[in-house]
Amino acid sequence: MFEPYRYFRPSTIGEASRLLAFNPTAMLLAGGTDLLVKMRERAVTPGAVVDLKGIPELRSIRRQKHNLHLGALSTVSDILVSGQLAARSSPSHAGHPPPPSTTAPTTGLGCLLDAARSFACFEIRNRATLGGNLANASPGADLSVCLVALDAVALVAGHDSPGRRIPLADFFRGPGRTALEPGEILLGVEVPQPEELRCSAYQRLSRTTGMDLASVGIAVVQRRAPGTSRPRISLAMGAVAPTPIRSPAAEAILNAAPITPSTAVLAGEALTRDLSPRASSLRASPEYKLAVLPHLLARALGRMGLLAAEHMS
Amino acid sequence: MSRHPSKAGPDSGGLAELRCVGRSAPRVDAREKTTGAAAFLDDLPFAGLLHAAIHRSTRPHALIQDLHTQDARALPGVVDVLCAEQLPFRIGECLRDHAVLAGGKVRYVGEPVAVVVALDALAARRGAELVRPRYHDLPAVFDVDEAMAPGAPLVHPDLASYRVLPSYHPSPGTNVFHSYRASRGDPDAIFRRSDSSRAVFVHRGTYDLPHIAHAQLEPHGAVALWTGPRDLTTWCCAQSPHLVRKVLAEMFQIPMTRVRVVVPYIGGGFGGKSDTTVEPLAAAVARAMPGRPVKLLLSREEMFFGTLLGRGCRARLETAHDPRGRLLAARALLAFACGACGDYGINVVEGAGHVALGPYRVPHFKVESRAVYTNTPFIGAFRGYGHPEVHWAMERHLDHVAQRMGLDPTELRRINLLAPGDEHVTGQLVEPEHGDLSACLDAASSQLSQPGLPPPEPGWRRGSALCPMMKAPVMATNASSAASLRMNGDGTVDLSVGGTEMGQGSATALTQLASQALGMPLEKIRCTPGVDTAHSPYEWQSVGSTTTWKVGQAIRAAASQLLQALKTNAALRLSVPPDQVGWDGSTLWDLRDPSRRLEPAEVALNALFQDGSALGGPVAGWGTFTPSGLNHPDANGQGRLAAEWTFGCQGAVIDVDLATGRIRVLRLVTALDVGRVVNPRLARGQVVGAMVQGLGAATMERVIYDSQGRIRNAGLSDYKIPTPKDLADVDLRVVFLETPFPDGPFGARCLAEHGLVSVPPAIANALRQATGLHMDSLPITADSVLCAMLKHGPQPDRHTTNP
Ligand SMILES: Cc1cc2nc3c(=O)[nH]c(=O)nc-3n(C[C@H](O)[C@H](O)[C@H](O)COP(=O)(O)OP(=O)(O)OC[C@H]3O[C@@H](n4cnc5c(N)ncnc54)[C@H](O)[C@@H]3O)c2cc1C
Repeated sequence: MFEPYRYFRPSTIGEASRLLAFNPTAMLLAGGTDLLVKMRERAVTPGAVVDLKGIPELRSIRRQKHNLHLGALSTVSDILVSGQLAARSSPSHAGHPPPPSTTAPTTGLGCLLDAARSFACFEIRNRATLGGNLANASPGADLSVCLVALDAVALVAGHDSPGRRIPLADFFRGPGRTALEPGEILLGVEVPQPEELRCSAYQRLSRTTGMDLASVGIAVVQRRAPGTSRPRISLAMGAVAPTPIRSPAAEAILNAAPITPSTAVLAGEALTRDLSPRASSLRASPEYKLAVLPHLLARALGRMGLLAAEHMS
Repeated sequence: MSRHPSKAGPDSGGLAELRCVGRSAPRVDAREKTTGAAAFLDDLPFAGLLHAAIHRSTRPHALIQDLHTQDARALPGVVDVLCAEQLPFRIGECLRDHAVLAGGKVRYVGEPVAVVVALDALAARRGAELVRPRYHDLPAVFDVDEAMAPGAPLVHPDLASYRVLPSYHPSPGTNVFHSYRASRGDPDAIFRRSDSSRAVFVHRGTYDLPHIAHAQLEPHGAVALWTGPRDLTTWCCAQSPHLVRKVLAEMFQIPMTRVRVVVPYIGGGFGGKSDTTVEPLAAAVARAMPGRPVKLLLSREEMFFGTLLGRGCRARLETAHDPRGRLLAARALLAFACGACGDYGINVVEGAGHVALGPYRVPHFKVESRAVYTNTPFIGAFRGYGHPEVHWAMERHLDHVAQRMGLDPTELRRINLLAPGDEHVTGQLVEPEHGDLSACLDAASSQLSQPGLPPPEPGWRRGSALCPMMKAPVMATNASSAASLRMNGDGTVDLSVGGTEMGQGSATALTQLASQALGMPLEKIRCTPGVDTAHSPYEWQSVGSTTTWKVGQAIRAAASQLLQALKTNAALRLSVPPDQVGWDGSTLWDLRDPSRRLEPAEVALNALFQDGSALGGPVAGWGTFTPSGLNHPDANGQGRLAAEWTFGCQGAVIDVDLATGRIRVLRLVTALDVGRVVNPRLARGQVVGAMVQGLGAATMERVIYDSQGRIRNAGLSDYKIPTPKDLADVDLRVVFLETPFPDGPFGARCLAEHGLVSVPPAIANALRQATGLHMDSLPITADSVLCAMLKHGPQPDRHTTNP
């Protein structure tokens, strides 16, 4: 049951931020797959809803000189479709065994594709946007976890203020809380230096095979900067802390020496060492999350071709 | 499919003559439902509709010291706020313990405390939030053992004063509001012997099922309208409109003729819309708004705490076996956490007691099934009705026994199966005509081991298990059905029944039975959609998988009456005695001169002669059925308590991921002896639907309470049920055996709930075979499996072989 609200559909970003500025109780609407759920439960009761879907330039995925730009209105389905394009331009897997998965080999943005594929259902994937996923700031949001591992930077516009760039590491402040100030609009994210991305994967577990949010998830990314001798791993976990989080300790282990089954085990142990997932989750117990994370890491590494399948369990 | 010769009464003829029964006729409501034309309760238009919303208790057990309603009343759009003072109604068919609005104290989180009536639904909801009771908290009790402990807080201290029917046994001064007890022989002596003798093997265990929710697609709702001080009409989605009518008439003390209950299409019941749900409260509220229809529709969330749940059983079992594994004796205590109101669960508890030891022969036993109040929402009918509880306990238990005794689990079952000549817990004899249990075991076993499954992935382990089952409908001893068939002037026939079509396909199956019994083509017969107690024949309740069986029998009786009337009119027209009229389903003729023929349309309303004069009257048939010979249990729990049993066997093949605990069900099998399959596609649909619900109960479903008795997962985001994606790779196999049931239409017996009964233990036992882990509480989630593995480690069991 919905409280009455006023509905606006601006066609420019400027108009949208003015509407926000003059309606203190307004909220932005993208796909609505989080917002409308909360409005129906009346967990939020905005006096006005500013629908961003009338601003076409927010819905784009494009390669720029030094980054990959993903517009806030890009839907999960858009990401899946564009993934096929990215697959063609990404570096090959030369020197690595093929990943042990039946689906397509992972590319640099493979983690986003993995996340998009495991995301909800067709209908939700067609509505749910990347901007909504980030701004909603759920600790287990699939795209958010991947973008943290990809070192993405949020692009933000505000009324009467120049735009800001916020590294995603600083963007999330807690469940449902972000660094966005009132009136600010997330325009999109930039993934820096996509040409450096060699491969990436996202692995998650949920309670059912059918539609469910992630009980726990992990995104692993491998980059190789020009001039450096060794590729570098970065990783982020979802649904184990108040925000998606990196594991510097596990990254350090994976970057200190070539990846072998034993370094993967060590990294798996490091992953969980300082974690204490909340006990109140309905999706999974802390014991469960901690027990499966090392395994999910091994699976992700296996999927990226960095660890042979027989070492994965 | 094993076919036995039919013994199903004179009008069934031989199998060769079954033209319509046994065919997968398309659903009669297929077009309406797929195009959206089928109207459900919330689709019905009403002029001048008022909306009601409920203010519900936030406390599990508390005295209501004060109820502040002024703010709600002041809200624009709010018409009135009603509480127990204005609506002091108390209902309950077997035990009158249900106040439709809490008066004086609340007994669970979610209990209705006040109702706000408003011009629109939002104002009603907002108003409900503005009602503010002041509570004085009382100690609350949630766990069934705590509720049974001496000195436990009493949910109903006034139990002694409640009206109760003679065959129920409340224990005032405790939380136990009913017990069914049965015993035979001297089990205690055998258990004593086990202390000294190695020839007696004993195992004890405790098995838990949580509260679960029906999760019907359509929410519960009712629209009530009083057109005069004694004239009530209620539109609702109740499974049992005639029962709702009876309850409302008694509640308001008006004649039943003045209470009309109208039920359109129902969007799923699963037992959760049997008895009454929101109808009494809606009708009580509407009485305060004469002349205006009032709608009370539950939200998805309210469907969890605002109406009945299911299960919630802790079973303690002890069995004694001889060295070969044969059951010598058993003692069982089934304790049900029934919630704060007992009338809805009381017969679930009773029914579970009747089958407390599953489909096994046990010479000496003592069983008790106990109904216990707790400060939670109450339980009631849920597909399976006491049987999944019993089978979960018994089948898990036998799995422990098999492992500890080093016996093959399937063999252990086979040597203990009930067979003709054995007695049920109730003392009723197993007869050959009840079906072939051991043939079901064989059929399920052969299906389970069919090739075609992919090998387990690396890191996964496979297990399989078979669990026999049986189910009886639990019902009133006088659970009657009626049906009417009326021929129209064009020779078509209207079929009216009081049994409700809630998605299970009864309208289709019953049309087929009418077609078969009349010998007329299916297209000529229409089952009137919906039930309206003002016009529809009586039906006790549409529960217990009994509609096709019981109403089908009534239809057969109605059909023979209709045919007699038709022949009478024809005989008048042909000027021959009625027994000289021939009938082939489309034409009537003079047996002595077959050239003298009549279409049914010519004599459907009367026999009209050339001079304009007429004799006879409209052709119709009325038929009834009451299962014969049922009675109440004696002091020792013995009696003719079950009208029929359906025997079967179920099995599962699963893979389990040792790294994550995830269970993947590869194959589920059900073999059921259903007597006669009326419509193979619909029958399979019912059984598969039940198997899927069983899969949900096995691996996903549980109502989660916090420490204050609040449901934490009231909604489908966190109350998980299986979706098509969960089923994509499950090989669902159903086999029907047909040992005809003499008291069923063309040999048919009940089959709808049955597919659920032994699915959870089959999955759990398969998991045990794969890993050695005994999981004795439902549901078995990946989380619980992994945590158990971390504690106990997988212990591969080498005794049995993988399929
Ligand atoms: C059935 C179902 C299944 C789901 N499954 C998954 C899943 O598998 N994985 C997963 O991660 N999530 C899942 N979700 C959650 C949800 O779909 C995602 O978080 C989605 O990405 C949200 O995007 P949206 O466009 O719908 O956001 P909206 O609901 O439109 O907005 C969400 C929030 O973000 C704000 N917002 C939106 N856009 C902007 C912007 N450009 N700038 C600033 N603020 C903005 C809104 O004001 C609102 O507070 C599921 C949801 C449902 C209903």
